[in-house]
Amino acid sequence: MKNAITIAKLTFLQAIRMKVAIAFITLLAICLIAMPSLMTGDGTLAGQIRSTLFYSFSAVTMLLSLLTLLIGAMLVSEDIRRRQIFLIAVKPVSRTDYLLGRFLGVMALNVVLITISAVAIYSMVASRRSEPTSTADRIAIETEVFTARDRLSPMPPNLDKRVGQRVAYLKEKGQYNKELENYRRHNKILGGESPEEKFLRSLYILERKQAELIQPHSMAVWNFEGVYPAGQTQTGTATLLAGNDTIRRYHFKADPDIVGRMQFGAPIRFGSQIKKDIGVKGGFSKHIEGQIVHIIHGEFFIELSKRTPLPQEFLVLQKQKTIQFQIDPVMQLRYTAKPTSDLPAGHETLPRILSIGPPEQKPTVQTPPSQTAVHSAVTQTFSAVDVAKDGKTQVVYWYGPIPQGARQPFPTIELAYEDVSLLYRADDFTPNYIRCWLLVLARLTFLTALALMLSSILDFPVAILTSMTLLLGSLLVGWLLSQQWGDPVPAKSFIDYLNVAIHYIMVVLMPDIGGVSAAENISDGMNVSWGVLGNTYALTVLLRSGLYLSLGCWLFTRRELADPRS
Amino acid sequence: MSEPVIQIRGLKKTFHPFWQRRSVTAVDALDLDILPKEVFGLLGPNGSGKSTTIKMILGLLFPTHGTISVFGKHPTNVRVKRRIGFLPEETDLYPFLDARETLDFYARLFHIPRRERAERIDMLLDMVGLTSVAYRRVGEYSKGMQRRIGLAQALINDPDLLILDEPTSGLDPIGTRQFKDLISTLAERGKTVLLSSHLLADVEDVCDRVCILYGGRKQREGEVQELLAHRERTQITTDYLDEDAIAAVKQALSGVAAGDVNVSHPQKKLESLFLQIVEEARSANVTTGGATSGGDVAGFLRGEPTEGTTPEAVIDSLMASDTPDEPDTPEAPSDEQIARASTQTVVDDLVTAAPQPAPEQDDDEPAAPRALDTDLIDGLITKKGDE
Repeated sequence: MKNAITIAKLTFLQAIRMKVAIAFITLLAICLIAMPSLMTGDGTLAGQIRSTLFYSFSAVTMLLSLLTLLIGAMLVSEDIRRRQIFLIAVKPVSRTDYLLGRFLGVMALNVVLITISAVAIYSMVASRRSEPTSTADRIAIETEVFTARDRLSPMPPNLDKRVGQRVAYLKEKGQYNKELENYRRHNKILGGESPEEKFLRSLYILERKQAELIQPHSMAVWNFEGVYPAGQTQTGTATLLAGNDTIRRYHFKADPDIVGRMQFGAPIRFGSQIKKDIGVKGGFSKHIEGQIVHIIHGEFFIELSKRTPLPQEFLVLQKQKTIQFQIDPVMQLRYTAKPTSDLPAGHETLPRILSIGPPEQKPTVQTPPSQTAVHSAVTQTFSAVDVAKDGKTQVVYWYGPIPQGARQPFPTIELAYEDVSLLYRADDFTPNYIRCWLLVLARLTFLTALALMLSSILDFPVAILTSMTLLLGSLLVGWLLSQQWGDPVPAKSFIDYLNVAIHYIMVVLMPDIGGVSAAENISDGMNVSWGVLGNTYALTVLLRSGLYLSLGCWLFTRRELADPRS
Repeated sequence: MSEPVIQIRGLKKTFHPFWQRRSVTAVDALDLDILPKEVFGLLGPNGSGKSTTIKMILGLLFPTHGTISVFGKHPTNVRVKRRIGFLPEETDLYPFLDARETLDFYARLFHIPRRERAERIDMLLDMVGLTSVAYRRVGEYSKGMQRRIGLAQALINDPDLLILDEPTSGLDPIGTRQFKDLISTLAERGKTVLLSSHLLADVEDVCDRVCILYGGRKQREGEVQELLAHRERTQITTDYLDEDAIAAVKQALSGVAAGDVNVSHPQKKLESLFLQIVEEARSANVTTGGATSGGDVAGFLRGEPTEGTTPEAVIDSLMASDTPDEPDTPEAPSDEQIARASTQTVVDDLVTAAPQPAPEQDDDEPAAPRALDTDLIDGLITKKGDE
């Protein structure tokens, strides 16, 4: 191990003296300087920061991946080609130590370069975070970018009943066997699977599609489980500094500690007395809801909804008077509504009412009737206190009310399950930012092991070509698995066996790099949990990189280091 | 008889090139025993299998057949490598390290403690004459300077077995001389040295025993003096004689000796002359930007405790070995022979990169030495530079 560290130091020095680090830092600086003018996003500051995060993460990952492959593929093969290996191999260094040293050296370089990139990018986005902007933009920045949200998809509906009914119907009509035969004729059924099972599966898919189609005046019900938003309900007293009843904007001062933990866009409830037994619902006997729109130095601004009438006790609130408040963690519902036909003339949006609450109970919150955009993701923010203690919550989307006397019918809309998600703050931005870089590091670990393994048995050009091809393969592996090899089936013919073999080889040997993208997650304010990170490290670093490195060592100790020419 | 340091039995190495090219047998049916405390030379023209044999001894190549043991262990054994120093034919160092970092890197691989490491590096740099350029990257060094660093790294662990592949290639005559002194010093300390060369003079001057390889097979093995003995000729050396005295000697010898009688003055080796010229230049304070002639053999290699070496001592050591080797046994080679071989070496070092491996024939030298087969000599001459 001591020798491995000596060789790791040599490798690191080699990379530094080869001016690799300088070239990388220069490229990174150019990227970061050019980024704000090139990446305008959707024009908002939130969009710019999001683009900056996405492209700088992507650029750094790409640069470091290429750099790692190049250095990894070069180190061992060039040592052999230039015969520098002779002087090391005749010293009391095992070849495993040598290869391990090379690996550690490249990883040390990667850690240093990642740290430099992480600090540079963080300082840049942090400085942009405090730039003045509109309230909506500010809320978007704080709730969609500088956060770490978990995403939950609705539980798939229980379709057993519906499929059972359909099967019963078909059997009753005597069409079941005919449909089955029809299905068998038009679909390739690989060996091992019974055509009936597959036919039934297709019925489930059909029923699911049906369940995702919503007619006007009907509703979609989405159940979520395992919703545990970060942050607790906070209560305190605030002093009104200024207010404007016309625009319904109020300026408060409160305990800086509580203000420090406030979230932009979070619902805030004001009331005169807090119930003793608040439970998960919490709250006041009488209250009014607002939204935090700005937080600065122990002070905060709220805006009250224009629809809600101001209760008497809030109107009489005067300056310097204190009032009790309660802030809840936030939760966002995101969905995309896709109309199956054209919208009626004169309409660009569709009506909807959303209600949320614990399952099987009266909804605790119901939005007023509003319009929803179509074909693009819509986000609705809720208070997270509406989640039951067991982490279950239910959202009901009601497609209505349809305006009276509409000249054309309103279209059926599709609300696909994969387009619906519940987002809630699970962690802060900074720890998530670090985890995202650790995710990048896991990928680089894999690439280092891969490149070194190839470099220990192949010449540089062949090693780099092979590793580049595998990098491309690993970027595509997620997609490939979902397409061609998405559904491995028991093999029947030689081609089937080959198919299944390739599937498993790819699953085992290639990291699903396309699967969890650090760039996408960080720019979208999505949480990369320790669980996901741990899983990635277990599979990509320990298992796959370890496998490649062990294979490299095994092959390397069995090869000759000289040839007739040398 | 003590256990051999290197034992080779039935060694064969065949290279099988990729893709339908003819395979090549580089070493065939080789048996060798290299004993402790001896300086052993592997001699042969280019491509005779010397380097291949050495690489197999070092575990860089694996034998096709046969066995090799080094200190009784397999060549790839890491413990064995602690006791070996190796100078390859080409000194391929990391160009981004300076001389000191290079030596430090290799020293660390032997787990030499920090202080001792620093001391040894200083001594070795002084020994190979690179102290003044120790902080220059080795990529900027000339071939000869890199060679010196190569030698220093081979000695960093004070090896029990020193393996040198074409050690004098790329070295100037001073370096060559110094290197020979070093081998003598190490031999006196009971180290085992294995060196390969196609330069007869290198081997002849320092080796106790040699093995001559040709076409991958052992042609002859034995003690150098034995192999080089020129039994049908006799040389008489005296103090200065004038023309008349020489005539008298010729007259006297003509009665007892058959054939030609030739009386001449013993010649200095060109190597010695060159050293003398450089020494004079040094005395006149001519500066150099390259390698200097180098210091004394490092203390730890002489088995002495650490102490400084004075420039005077270095000069003394160089001057002390300045005189031609004196024949000390009846079978010893003649001065003229030594002078010839050495002259050839130095001329080759200075003039061409492809040295002539054997002495040239001339009128005064009617036949090749009996101990060396004529066809072997032909092989040495005609096979030059065919790698």
